[in-house]
Amino acid sequence: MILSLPVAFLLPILSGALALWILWPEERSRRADIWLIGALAAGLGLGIASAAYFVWLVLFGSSRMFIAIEVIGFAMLTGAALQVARRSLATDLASGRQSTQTSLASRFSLAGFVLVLLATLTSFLAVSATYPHSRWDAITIWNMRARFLFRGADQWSDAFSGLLGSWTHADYPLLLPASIARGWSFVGSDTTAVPVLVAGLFTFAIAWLLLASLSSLRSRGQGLVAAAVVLGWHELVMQGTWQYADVPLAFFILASVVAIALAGTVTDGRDRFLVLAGIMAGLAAWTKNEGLLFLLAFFVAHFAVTAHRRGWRKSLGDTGSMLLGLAPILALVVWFKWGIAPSNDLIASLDLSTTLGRLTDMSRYGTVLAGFAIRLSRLGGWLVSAPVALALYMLAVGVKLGERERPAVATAALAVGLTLAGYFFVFVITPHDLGWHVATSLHRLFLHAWPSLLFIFFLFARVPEEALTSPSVPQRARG
Amino acid sequence: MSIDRSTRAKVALPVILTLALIASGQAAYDAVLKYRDSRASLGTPEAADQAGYNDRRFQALREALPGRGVIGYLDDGRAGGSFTSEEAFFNYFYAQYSLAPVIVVRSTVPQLVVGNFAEAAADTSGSSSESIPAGFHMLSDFGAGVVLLESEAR
Repeated sequence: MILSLPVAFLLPILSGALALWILWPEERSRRADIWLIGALAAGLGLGIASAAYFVWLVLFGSSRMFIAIEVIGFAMLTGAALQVARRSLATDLASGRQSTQTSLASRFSLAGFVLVLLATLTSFLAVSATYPHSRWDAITIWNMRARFLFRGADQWSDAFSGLLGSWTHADYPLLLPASIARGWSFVGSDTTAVPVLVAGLFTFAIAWLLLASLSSLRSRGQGLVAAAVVLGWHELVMQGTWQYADVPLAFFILASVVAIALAGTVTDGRDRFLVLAGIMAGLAAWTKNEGLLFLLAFFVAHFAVTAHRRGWRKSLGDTGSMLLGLAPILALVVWFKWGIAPSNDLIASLDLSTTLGRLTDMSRYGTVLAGFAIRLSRLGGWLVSAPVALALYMLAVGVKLGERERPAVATAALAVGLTLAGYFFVFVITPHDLGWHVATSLHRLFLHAWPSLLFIFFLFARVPEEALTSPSVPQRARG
Repeated sequence: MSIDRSTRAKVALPVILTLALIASGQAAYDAVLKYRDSRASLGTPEAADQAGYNDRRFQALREALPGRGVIGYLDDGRAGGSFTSEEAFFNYFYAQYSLAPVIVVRSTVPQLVVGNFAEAAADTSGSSSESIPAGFHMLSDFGAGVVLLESEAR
């Protein structure tokens, strides 16, 4: 296990990094973006590997031959990446040279980030050691389904038996259970180390992705502050230790939004980032049912924003590129939903007249709205409400949004807004007790959006390096 | 009097980082304390990690069961219908989690039925025999309140 455990995770992550390295547009320096490639690869690699594992399990049974296929895939990607490296070494070396000077703001932000990272690592390890099997939904849904896939092997379909009852939510997508079962197949036993590691990777990959993307798009100091803020929100780390699928979903929502922002930074190779955005949004749908809602919202938002700014023809072209990335994963999700999973308990229990009755019951809107307001005001778990603290922070440092980031900010804000609006209406029509449903799930739904909202916020806010040195005179936004 | 941006930022940046650090530091302190406290009850019915505790209780039964199938379930409350308490609800799912990929149904209809009884009661009575319903006999007692029953109907 000592060797197979790290190999089980390094293999897909390195494969993901190599694939991104190969497809990374020449216009951006691979060398300068190496940490960003790594952060995206963590989710991309684990997500694709989980999908491939499940397809292999269904088509070929529990044979561990899939490990050989993964190794062969890794070797092929390494060969292709070496070819690309030889070709682009000179360009990368030229454009990858960055100033090694670090400002006071950057050093200060780094110190703050390191302290927060150490505290959150301590939290994660202590809670995971106290509850290695984790909490309720992990036991009744995610890890239990992983046990059915791994222990059941060729009888994997028992994981979706109607006899298991509605509490096990057999219709939920499989990114997390399949990732865990895949890890166990590598190791050869269902050790709790695998779900803990999967949870840890996604939890800290969110901070890593915020740090790397904002460092690349804005400044190192900005990335460090954003990463400290997201880790300083103890809900992220706590829910990470719960081993639920909400943290991986938050990662894929953020990764989709980051890919769109990166698409705005290049002219040649923009399509590659749009394909990546489609893949990441598809992996969100492969993670949780809420990911399907985000997927729809994301495509609608991108289409609308691009059509508004660049015309509908260009918007259709962009959507085509995103669909190219999305198609294989969406096909898997559709196959799973229609061919394998039972119907969703929420949807199955809805009928038109009752739903209309709930939609016209204003008291339900009040209950949900109050739930949203309370949750928003308590977001962060800080001494003061995090949204209020961040609003004051922005007032202090100022706003500076570059022209190239505007479409990404609009797309991200619209996609996240539509997703939250969707959640709102799901609560309004829920067949469950409304108070119970809001109380037990709203905190997890906010988690899906929070890292992406922070990404948008820190694209808006003036970077600390500049804010600490500039006086309060109006400046033109960076083009 | 207006304060320039540089001065405001010099205050805002440390404040935001300090807020994040206080929250994460407090969470780390609480987590370490909880971990330390949990060591004392490890392996007992009061264990913080109830899933882990139950996983160990059911380990011998899991190894004795076939790799696939459907078994019934009986606890200190009645079988079937709604759960008699929140604890009974949790205990049923801990049993299902532990015994996967065997499917555990809250019914005494299947030929084999797992009995999941409070550990303390099982220790004093020896085998929880008082909880065994008519028409069943005990196939195995795995200790800690876990028994495997077989229907006499077939």
